[in-house]
Amino acid sequence: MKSLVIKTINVVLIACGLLMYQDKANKRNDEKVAFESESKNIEQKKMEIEMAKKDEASLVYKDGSYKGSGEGFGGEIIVEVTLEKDFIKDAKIISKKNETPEYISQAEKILDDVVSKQTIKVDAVSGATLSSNGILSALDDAMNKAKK
Amino acid sequence: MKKITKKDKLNLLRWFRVLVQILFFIFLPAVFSQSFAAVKSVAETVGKGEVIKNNSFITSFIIVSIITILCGRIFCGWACSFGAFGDWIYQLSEFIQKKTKCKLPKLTDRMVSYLKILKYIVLITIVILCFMGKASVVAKNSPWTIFSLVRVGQYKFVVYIMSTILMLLVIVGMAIKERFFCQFLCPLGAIFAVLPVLPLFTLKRDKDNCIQKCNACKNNCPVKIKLQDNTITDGECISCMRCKMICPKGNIKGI
Repeated sequence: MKSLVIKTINVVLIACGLLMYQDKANKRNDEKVAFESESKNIEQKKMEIEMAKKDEASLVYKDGSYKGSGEGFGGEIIVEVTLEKDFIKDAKIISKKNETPEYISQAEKILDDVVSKQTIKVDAVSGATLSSNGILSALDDAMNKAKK
Repeated sequence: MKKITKKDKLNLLRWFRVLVQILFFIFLPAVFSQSFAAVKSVAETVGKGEVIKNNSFITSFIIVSIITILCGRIFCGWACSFGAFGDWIYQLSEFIQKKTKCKLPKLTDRMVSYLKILKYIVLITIVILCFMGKASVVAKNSPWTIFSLVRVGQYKFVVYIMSTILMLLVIVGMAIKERFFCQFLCPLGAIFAVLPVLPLFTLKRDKDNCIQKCNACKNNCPVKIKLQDNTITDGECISCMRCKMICPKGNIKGI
Protein backbone atom coordinates (compact mmCIF):
# COMPACT_ATOMS: atom_id res chain seq x y z
CA MET A 1 0.00 0.00 0.00
CA LYS A 2 2.83 2.34 0.92
CA SER A 3 4.53 1.84 -2.45
CA LEU A 4 1.26 2.64 -4.24
CA VAL A 5 1.06 5.96 -2.38
CA ILE A 6 4.68 6.83 -3.20
CA LYS A 7 4.20 5.98 -6.88
CA THR A 8 1.01 8.03 -7.08
CA ILE A 9 2.71 11.02 -5.46
CA ASN A 10 5.57 10.72 -7.99
CA VAL A 11 3.17 10.71 -10.94
CA VAL A 12 1.25 13.69 -9.53
CA LEU A 13 4.50 15.63 -9.01
CA ILE A 14 5.69 14.94 -12.56
CA ALA A 15 2.27 15.87 -13.98
CA CYS A 16 2.25 19.14 -12.01
CA GLY A 17 5.78 19.91 -13.13
CA LEU A 18 4.85 19.41 -16.78
CA LEU A 19 1.69 21.54 -16.43
CA MET A 20 3.65 24.40 -14.85
CA TYR A 21 6.25 24.15 -17.61
CA GLN A 22 3.53 24.14 -20.28
CA ASP A 23 1.95 27.24 -18.76
CA LYS A 24 5.26 29.11 -18.83
CA ALA A 25 6.05 27.90 -22.35
CA ASN A 26 2.60 29.01 -23.57
CA LYS A 27 3.12 32.51 -22.19
CA ARG A 28 6.53 32.75 -23.83
CA ASN A 29 5.05 31.43 -27.06
CA ASP A 30 2.23 33.98 -27.08
CA GLU A 31 4.78 36.78 -26.82
CA LYS A 32 6.84 35.14 -29.54
CA VAL A 33 3.86 34.77 -31.91
CA ALA A 34 2.90 38.43 -31.53
CA PHE A 35 6.45 39.52 -32.24
CA GLU A 36 6.79 37.09 -35.14
CA SER A 37 3.65 38.19 -37.00
CA GLU A 38 4.93 41.75 -36.89
CA SER A 39 8.34 40.79 -38.18
CA LYS A 40 6.78 38.46 -40.76
CA ASN A 41 5.11 41.45 -42.43
CA ILE A 42 8.41 43.29 -42.45
CA GLU A 43 10.19 40.22 -43.84
CA GLN A 44 7.57 39.79 -46.57
CA LYS A 45 8.04 43.36 -47.71
CA LYS A 46 11.81 42.95 -47.56
CA MET A 47 11.60 39.75 -49.66
CA GLU A 48 9.60 41.53 -52.33
CA ILE A 49 12.14 44.35 -52.50
CA GLU A 50 15.03 41.88 -52.62
CA MET A 51 13.38 39.82 -55.35
CA ALA A 52 12.89 42.90 -57.50
CA LYS A 53 16.53 43.86 -56.96
CA LYS A 54 18.08 40.47 -57.72
CA ASP A 55 20.27 40.18 -60.71
CA GLU A 56 19.61 37.04 -62.79
CA ALA A 57 23.33 36.28 -62.95
CA SER A 58 23.95 36.33 -59.17
CA LEU A 59 21.35 33.64 -58.32
CA VAL A 60 22.65 30.29 -57.05
CA TYR A 61 19.51 28.31 -57.87
CA LYS A 62 17.33 28.22 -60.96
CA ASP A 63 13.67 29.19 -60.55
CA GLY A 64 11.09 26.43 -60.66
CA SER A 65 9.96 23.25 -58.94
CA TYR A 66 12.46 20.49 -58.33
CA LYS A 67 11.93 16.94 -57.11
CA GLY A 68 14.39 15.17 -54.85
CA SER A 69 14.44 11.72 -53.29
CA GLY A 70 15.87 10.36 -50.05
CA GLU A 71 15.91 7.15 -48.05
CA GLY A 72 13.31 7.26 -45.28
CA PHE A 73 12.37 4.57 -42.79
CA GLY A 74 10.58 2.14 -45.09
CA GLY A 75 11.70 3.29 -48.50
CA GLU A 76 11.93 6.25 -50.83
CA ILE A 77 10.54 9.67 -49.96
CA ILE A 78 10.09 12.16 -52.80
CA VAL A 79 9.75 15.90 -52.11
CA GLU A 80 9.19 18.89 -54.36
CA VAL A 81 10.81 22.24 -53.68
CA THR A 82 9.68 25.41 -55.43
CA LEU A 83 12.27 28.14 -55.77
CA GLU A 84 11.91 31.71 -56.98
CA LYS A 85 14.92 33.98 -57.09
CA ASP A 86 16.75 31.82 -54.53
CA PHE A 87 13.80 31.94 -52.08
CA ILE A 88 12.16 28.70 -51.00
CA LYS A 89 8.51 29.39 -51.81
CA ASP A 90 7.20 25.91 -51.07
CA ALA A 91 8.35 22.44 -49.98
CA LYS A 92 6.05 19.43 -49.97
CA ILE A 93 6.10 15.64 -49.99
CA ILE A 94 5.08 13.99 -53.27
CA SER A 95 5.58 10.36 -52.31
CA LYS A 96 6.00 8.55 -48.98
CA LYS A 97 4.98 5.01 -49.89
CA ASN A 98 6.36 2.82 -47.14
CA GLU A 99 6.51 5.27 -44.26
CA THR A 100 4.58 4.52 -41.10
CA PRO A 101 1.74 7.13 -41.02
CA GLU A 102 2.19 8.14 -37.37
CA TYR A 103 5.89 8.83 -37.87
CA ILE A 104 5.80 10.56 -41.27
CA SER A 105 3.02 12.91 -40.11
CA GLN A 106 5.33 14.06 -37.30
CA ALA A 107 8.33 14.36 -39.64
CA GLU A 108 6.39 16.43 -42.22
CA LYS A 109 6.47 19.35 -39.81
CA ILE A 110 10.04 19.88 -40.98
CA LEU A 111 8.67 21.29 -44.24
CA ASP A 112 6.97 24.21 -42.45
CA ASP A 113 10.30 24.98 -40.76
CA VAL A 114 12.13 24.89 -44.10
CA VAL A 115 9.89 27.56 -45.64
CA SER A 116 9.75 29.79 -42.57
CA LYS A 117 13.51 29.59 -41.93
CA GLN A 118 14.42 29.59 -45.63
CA THR A 119 16.98 26.78 -45.16
CA ILE A 120 17.04 23.00 -45.52
CA LYS A 121 19.41 22.73 -42.55
CA VAL A 122 16.69 22.13 -39.95
CA ASP A 123 16.56 19.61 -37.09
CA ALA A 124 15.03 16.18 -37.39
CA VAL A 125 11.87 15.51 -35.35
CA SER A 126 12.63 13.61 -32.16
CA GLY A 127 11.07 10.16 -32.12
CA ALA A 128 10.78 10.14 -35.94
CA THR A 129 14.47 10.42 -36.71
CA LEU A 130 14.69 8.07 -39.68
CA SER A 131 11.65 9.50 -41.49
CA SER A 132 12.96 13.03 -40.78
CA ASN A 133 16.40 12.23 -42.18
CA GLY A 134 14.73 10.78 -45.29
CA ILE A 135 12.91 14.06 -45.85
CA LEU A 136 16.07 16.10 -45.20
CA SER A 137 18.16 14.11 -47.69
CA ALA A 138 15.34 14.36 -50.27
CA LEU A 139 15.33 18.15 -49.79
CA ASP A 140 19.11 18.23 -50.23
CA ASP A 141 18.78 16.23 -53.45
CA ALA A 142 16.13 18.63 -54.78
CA MET A 143 18.22 21.72 -53.97
CA ASN A 144 21.22 20.18 -55.72
CA LYS A 145 19.14 19.65 -58.86
CA ALA A 146 18.15 23.32 -58.72
CA LYS A 147 21.73 24.60 -58.72
CA LYS A 148 22.75 26.47 -61.79
CA MET B 1 -20.73 -33.62 -23.17
CA LYS B 2 -17.33 -33.60 -21.52
CA LYS B 3 -17.18 -31.12 -18.65
CA ILE B 4 -14.76 -28.24 -19.23
CA THR B 5 -12.34 -28.52 -16.32
CA LYS B 6 -10.45 -25.68 -14.72
CA LYS B 7 -7.30 -27.06 -16.33
CA ASP B 8 -8.90 -26.75 -19.76
CA LYS B 9 -9.81 -23.15 -19.03
CA LEU B 10 -6.25 -22.35 -18.02
CA ASN B 11 -4.87 -24.10 -21.11
CA LEU B 12 -7.23 -22.00 -23.18
CA LEU B 13 -5.87 -18.89 -21.42
CA ARG B 14 -2.35 -19.92 -22.39
CA TRP B 15 -3.22 -20.29 -26.07
CA PHE B 16 -5.33 -17.14 -26.00
CA ARG B 17 -2.33 -15.16 -24.79
CA VAL B 18 -0.15 -16.61 -27.57
CA LEU B 19 -2.85 -15.64 -30.10
CA VAL B 20 -3.08 -12.08 -28.76
CA GLN B 21 0.71 -11.73 -28.90
CA ILE B 22 0.76 -12.98 -32.52
CA LEU B 23 -2.06 -10.61 -33.55
CA PHE B 24 -0.32 -7.60 -32.03
CA PHE B 25 2.97 -8.66 -33.66
CA ILE B 26 1.32 -8.76 -37.09
CA PHE B 27 -1.08 -5.81 -36.93
CA LEU B 28 0.15 -3.40 -34.24
CA PRO B 29 3.87 -4.04 -33.91
CA ALA B 30 4.98 -0.48 -33.26
CA VAL B 31 2.86 0.53 -30.26
CA PHE B 32 5.79 0.21 -27.86
CA SER B 33 8.14 2.41 -29.88
CA GLN B 34 5.40 4.96 -30.65
CA SER B 35 4.49 5.22 -26.96
CA PHE B 36 8.10 5.71 -25.98
CA ALA B 37 8.60 8.23 -28.82
CA ALA B 38 6.18 10.43 -26.84
CA VAL B 39 8.57 10.48 -23.87
CA LYS B 40 11.50 11.32 -26.15
CA SER B 41 9.64 14.12 -27.95
CA VAL B 42 8.41 15.71 -24.69
CA ALA B 43 11.96 15.61 -23.28
CA GLU B 44 13.28 17.28 -26.41
CA THR B 45 10.52 19.91 -26.46
CA VAL B 46 11.15 20.84 -22.81
CA GLY B 47 14.88 20.96 -23.54
CA LYS B 48 14.24 23.50 -26.29
CA GLY B 49 11.84 25.53 -24.14
CA GLU B 50 8.98 25.13 -26.62
CA VAL B 51 5.31 24.48 -26.01
CA ILE B 52 4.48 20.75 -25.70
CA LYS B 53 2.23 19.96 -28.66
CA ASN B 54 -0.15 17.01 -28.67
CA ASN B 55 0.65 14.33 -31.24
CA SER B 56 -0.24 10.71 -31.96
CA PHE B 57 2.77 9.49 -29.94
CA ILE B 58 1.50 11.19 -26.79
CA THR B 59 -2.01 9.80 -27.32
CA SER B 60 -0.55 6.31 -27.68
CA PHE B 61 1.55 6.75 -24.53
CA ILE B 62 -1.39 8.00 -22.46
CA ILE B 63 -3.68 5.16 -23.55
CA VAL B 64 -1.08 2.50 -22.73
CA SER B 65 -0.27 4.20 -19.40
CA ILE B 66 -3.94 4.27 -18.40
CA ILE B 67 -4.22 0.57 -19.21
CA THR B 68 -1.13 -0.05 -17.08
CA ILE B 69 -2.50 1.96 -14.15
CA LEU B 70 -5.74 -0.03 -14.24
CA CYS B 71 -4.48 -3.53 -14.97
CA GLY B 72 -0.72 -3.60 -14.40
CA ARG B 73 1.80 -4.32 -17.14
CA ILE B 74 -0.51 -6.39 -19.35
CA PHE B 75 0.72 -4.34 -22.26
CA CYS B 76 4.18 -5.78 -21.67
CA GLY B 77 2.89 -9.29 -21.22
CA TRP B 78 0.28 -9.41 -24.00
CA ALA B 79 0.70 -6.63 -26.54
CA CYS B 80 4.32 -5.57 -26.85
CA SER B 81 5.72 -7.14 -30.00
CA PHE B 82 9.30 -6.78 -28.80
CA GLY B 83 8.38 -8.69 -25.62
CA ALA B 84 6.65 -11.36 -27.69
CA PHE B 85 9.75 -11.62 -29.87
CA GLY B 86 11.81 -12.15 -26.71
CA ASP B 87 9.42 -14.86 -25.49
CA TRP B 88 9.75 -16.71 -28.77
CA ILE B 89 13.56 -16.43 -28.80
CA TYR B 90 13.65 -17.87 -25.27
CA GLN B 91 11.31 -20.73 -26.16
CA LEU B 92 13.39 -21.51 -29.24
CA SER B 93 16.57 -21.43 -27.13
CA GLU B 94 15.03 -23.77 -24.51
CA PHE B 95 13.98 -26.15 -27.28
CA ILE B 96 17.45 -26.15 -28.85
CA GLN B 97 19.12 -26.60 -25.46
CA LYS B 98 16.89 -29.58 -24.74
CA LYS B 99 17.57 -31.23 -28.07
CA THR B 100 21.32 -30.62 -28.13
CA LYS B 101 21.60 -31.33 -24.39
CA CYS B 102 23.95 -28.36 -23.91
CA LYS B 103 22.92 -25.72 -21.42
CA LEU B 104 23.42 -21.98 -21.56
CA PRO B 105 24.49 -20.26 -18.32
CA LYS B 106 21.63 -19.21 -16.04
CA LEU B 107 21.37 -15.95 -14.11
CA THR B 108 21.05 -16.17 -10.32
CA ASP B 109 18.25 -14.39 -8.48
CA ARG B 110 20.85 -12.05 -7.00
CA MET B 111 22.12 -11.04 -10.47
CA VAL B 112 18.53 -10.45 -11.54
CA SER B 113 17.84 -8.15 -8.59
CA TYR B 114 20.84 -5.98 -9.51
CA LEU B 115 20.40 -6.05 -13.29
CA LYS B 116 16.79 -4.89 -13.16
CA ILE B 117 17.98 -1.47 -11.98
CA LEU B 118 19.77 -1.02 -15.33
CA LYS B 119 16.54 -0.16 -17.15
CA TYR B 120 16.08 2.93 -14.99
CA ILE B 121 19.58 4.05 -15.93
CA VAL B 122 18.76 3.46 -19.62
CA LEU B 123 15.56 5.52 -19.26
CA ILE B 124 17.28 8.44 -17.52
CA THR B 125 20.13 8.43 -20.07
CA ILE B 126 17.72 8.52 -23.03
CA VAL B 127 15.63 11.31 -21.45
CA ILE B 128 18.74 13.40 -20.78
CA LEU B 129 20.05 12.87 -24.34
CA CYS B 130 16.72 13.96 -25.82
CA PHE B 131 16.57 16.94 -23.46
CA MET B 132 19.97 18.00 -24.82
CA GLY B 133 18.67 17.66 -28.37
CA LYS B 134 20.63 14.50 -29.15
CA ALA B 135 17.72 12.24 -30.01
CA SER B 136 19.38 10.97 -33.18
CA VAL B 137 22.16 9.48 -31.02
CA VAL B 138 19.47 7.39 -29.33
CA ALA B 139 17.98 6.23 -32.65
CA LYS B 140 21.39 5.24 -33.99
CA ASN B 141 22.22 3.14 -30.91
CA SER B 142 18.94 1.36 -30.33
CA PRO B 143 18.05 -2.29 -30.95
CA TRP B 144 14.47 -1.10 -31.52
CA THR B 145 15.64 0.65 -34.70
CA ILE B 146 16.84 -2.67 -36.13
CA PHE B 147 13.69 -4.49 -34.99
CA SER B 148 11.46 -1.88 -36.68
CA LEU B 149 13.48 -1.85 -39.89
CA VAL B 150 13.57 -5.63 -40.27
CA ARG B 151 9.87 -5.77 -39.38
CA VAL B 152 9.00 -3.65 -42.44
CA GLY B 153 11.34 -5.63 -44.64
CA GLN B 154 14.15 -3.07 -44.78
CA TYR B 155 17.35 -5.08 -44.94
CA LYS B 156 19.68 -2.09 -45.19
CA PHE B 157 19.67 -1.94 -41.39
CA VAL B 158 23.31 -3.03 -41.36
CA VAL B 159 24.16 0.65 -41.96
CA TYR B 160 23.40 1.18 -38.27
CA ILE B 161 26.34 -0.85 -37.02
CA MET B 162 26.06 -0.07 -33.30
CA SER B 163 22.33 -0.79 -33.23
CA THR B 164 22.85 -4.10 -35.03
CA ILE B 165 25.52 -5.15 -32.51
CA LEU B 166 23.23 -4.18 -29.63
CA MET B 167 20.32 -6.09 -31.18
CA LEU B 168 22.47 -9.21 -31.50
CA LEU B 169 23.59 -8.90 -27.86
CA VAL B 170 19.97 -8.44 -26.79
CA ILE B 171 18.97 -11.58 -28.71
CA VAL B 172 21.70 -13.54 -26.89
CA GLY B 173 20.35 -12.18 -23.60
CA MET B 174 16.81 -13.13 -24.60
CA ALA B 175 18.03 -16.70 -25.20
CA ILE B 176 19.60 -16.89 -21.74
CA LYS B 177 16.95 -15.25 -19.58
CA GLU B 178 13.26 -14.99 -20.14
CA ARG B 179 12.13 -11.39 -20.71
CA PHE B 180 15.77 -10.26 -20.56
CA PHE B 181 15.16 -6.96 -22.37
CA CYS B 182 11.89 -6.23 -20.55
CA GLN B 183 13.41 -6.62 -17.11
CA PHE B 184 16.90 -5.23 -17.58
CA LEU B 185 16.89 -2.74 -20.44
CA CYS B 186 13.44 -1.55 -21.53
CA PRO B 187 13.00 2.18 -20.80
CA LEU B 188 9.23 1.93 -21.37
CA GLY B 189 9.11 -1.00 -18.94
CA ALA B 190 11.01 1.16 -16.46
CA ILE B 191 8.28 3.81 -16.69
CA PHE B 192 5.53 1.21 -16.30
CA ALA B 193 7.30 -0.42 -13.34
CA VAL B 194 7.04 2.84 -11.39
CA LEU B 195 3.50 3.74 -12.37
CA PRO B 196 0.97 3.32 -9.55
CA VAL B 197 -1.18 0.29 -10.29
CA LEU B 198 -4.70 0.28 -8.83
CA PRO B 199 -5.34 -3.07 -7.17
CA LEU B 200 -8.53 -3.58 -9.21
CA PHE B 201 -7.56 -5.98 -11.96
CA THR B 202 -4.18 -7.23 -10.79
CA LEU B 203 -3.45 -10.87 -9.98
CA LYS B 204 -4.34 -11.90 -6.43
CA ARG B 205 -3.26 -14.93 -4.47
CA ASP B 206 -4.89 -16.73 -1.55
CA LYS B 207 -1.73 -17.48 0.40
CA ASP B 208 -3.47 -19.44 3.18
CA ASN B 209 -4.61 -22.03 0.70
CA CYS B 210 -1.10 -22.85 -0.52
CA ILE B 211 0.51 -26.26 -0.33
CA GLN B 212 3.55 -26.01 1.93
CA LYS B 213 6.84 -25.58 0.09
CA CYS B 214 5.11 -25.69 -3.30
CA ASN B 215 6.60 -22.52 -4.88
CA ALA B 216 5.33 -23.51 -8.33
CA CYS B 217 4.31 -19.91 -9.01
CA LYS B 218 7.69 -18.46 -7.98
CA ASN B 219 9.65 -21.05 -9.94
CA ASN B 220 7.74 -20.41 -13.14
CA CYS B 221 7.62 -16.65 -13.03
CA PRO B 222 9.53 -15.24 -16.04
CA VAL B 223 10.52 -12.13 -14.12
CA LYS B 224 11.31 -13.89 -10.83
CA ILE B 225 8.95 -12.03 -8.51
CA LYS B 226 9.08 -13.01 -4.84
CA LEU B 227 5.29 -13.53 -4.70
CA GLN B 228 5.06 -13.20 -0.91
CA ASP B 229 1.94 -11.08 -0.44
CA ASN B 230 -1.60 -11.70 -1.49
CA THR B 231 -1.67 -8.93 -4.07
CA ILE B 232 1.03 -8.87 -6.70
CA THR B 233 2.24 -5.28 -6.55
CA ASP B 234 5.78 -5.77 -7.82
CA GLY B 235 6.44 -3.42 -10.73
CA GLU B 236 8.15 -6.27 -12.57
CA CYS B 237 4.96 -8.32 -12.99
CA ILE B 238 3.96 -8.42 -16.66
CA SER B 239 0.63 -10.22 -16.10
CA CYS B 240 1.68 -13.18 -18.23
CA MET B 241 -0.52 -15.23 -15.86
CA ARG B 242 1.76 -18.21 -15.86
CA CYS B 243 1.50 -18.39 -12.05
CA LYS B 244 -2.26 -18.62 -12.40
CA MET B 245 -1.95 -21.36 -15.01
CA ILE B 246 0.47 -23.49 -13.01
CA CYS B 247 -0.95 -23.25 -9.47
CA PRO B 248 -2.08 -26.76 -8.51
CA LYS B 249 -4.79 -25.36 -6.26
CA GLY B 250 -5.96 -22.53 -8.53
CA ASN B 251 -5.12 -19.98 -5.82
CA ILE B 252 -4.28 -17.12 -8.13
CA LYS B 253 -7.18 -15.11 -9.43
CA GLY B 254 -7.58 -11.80 -11.13
CA ILE B 255 -8.55 -10.02 -14.35
